Amino acid sequence: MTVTDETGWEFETIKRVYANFGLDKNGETTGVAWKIVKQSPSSTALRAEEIRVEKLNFLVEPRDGKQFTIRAKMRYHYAPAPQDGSGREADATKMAETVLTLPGKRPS
Amino acid sequence: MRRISLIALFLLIGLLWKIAPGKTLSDMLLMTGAEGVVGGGVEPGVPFRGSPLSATQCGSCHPQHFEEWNSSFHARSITSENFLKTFPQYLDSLGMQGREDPQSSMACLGCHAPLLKHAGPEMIRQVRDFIVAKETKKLDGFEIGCVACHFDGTRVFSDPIARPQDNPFHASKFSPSYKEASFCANCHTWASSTIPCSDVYSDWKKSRAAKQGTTCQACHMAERGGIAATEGPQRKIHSHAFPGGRSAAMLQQAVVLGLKAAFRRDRLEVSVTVRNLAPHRVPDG
Repeated sequence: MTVTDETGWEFETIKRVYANFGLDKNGETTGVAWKIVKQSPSSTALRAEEIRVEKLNFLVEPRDGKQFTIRAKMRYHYAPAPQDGSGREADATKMAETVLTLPGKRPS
Repeated sequence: MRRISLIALFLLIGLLWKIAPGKTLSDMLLMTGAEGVVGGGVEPGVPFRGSPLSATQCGSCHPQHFEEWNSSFHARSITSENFLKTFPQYLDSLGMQGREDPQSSMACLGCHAPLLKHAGPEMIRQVRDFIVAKETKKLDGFEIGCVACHFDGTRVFSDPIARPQDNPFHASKFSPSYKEASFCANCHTWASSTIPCSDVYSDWKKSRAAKQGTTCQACHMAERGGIAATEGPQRKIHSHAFPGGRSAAMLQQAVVLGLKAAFRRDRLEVSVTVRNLAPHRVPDG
């Protein structure tokens, strides 16, 4: 989720990771499929037909812009990000996106 | 020339069928040389294609279904990059003794290469080794092909078509089970004999979609009009592309986002509603 002003300036991006974790036979959380014997309570995957509400706070005030654009995007990553320190993300496909605009109070 | 080859191929298939009355699938594998992949006297690595049971040959009369299946991940169940990477890791985690036990391999291959359920331990070991060596060409025919779902080990092919047409190549039998979600549970759920890498069926059973009678097939095998086989009648047929988490179209139908926002003193409070429309976990697997 990203908040920008009318110039495209990005104030902040907040991410939430929805991932499927399981427990191995010792009750330890694992992401390795062949060790999973049951779903971990710490799994953040969306449950079947779940409606999840995320409350997020951005340090942005009305005077910071004339108009604010709030953009929520959900992407599906097929693999974890590469662990090469590059900060690159793994290939992903867009699942959903929605945008909301709010008027600001920054003087001209 | 191509037509003559095709006719010759069909005659060969018919002949094999004719001389093998009552044979089981493992007998057929043996007869067609597939078992010979590991058998003495047959050159190792004889490709499975060329037997009467390969998806390519089914495609001769079922081209649309074949094309769809060929684009699916069922067709890459043992040759996808992910499986080729993960299966050897799993074997390594078992240690030498566990790795040699064919049943350990079958915990994955029972679903990823279902024909092996009818094969002997030597053949299972050889397929295991082909996967580890990434010799994907030698794995042709072992993936989740047509026979995995439509062939029960006899010479009869089952399907959800109520009035199957007679044809010279195989007998057909109507089975209502193809329309039930439980059909997919053979692999897409947890079972003690397999690796529990997906449990979408258990999720679905508890869902509102299940109560409303919306099956796995309703989303993952869309129904349309068409012909099931070349020169066959118009019927209701089903997609064999099995779109899922790797399909952008399916992913974009799975989740809906909603946004509300308001300023509170020195901050912007945003509420995002994430609604999972799928009757199973997202992500799953």
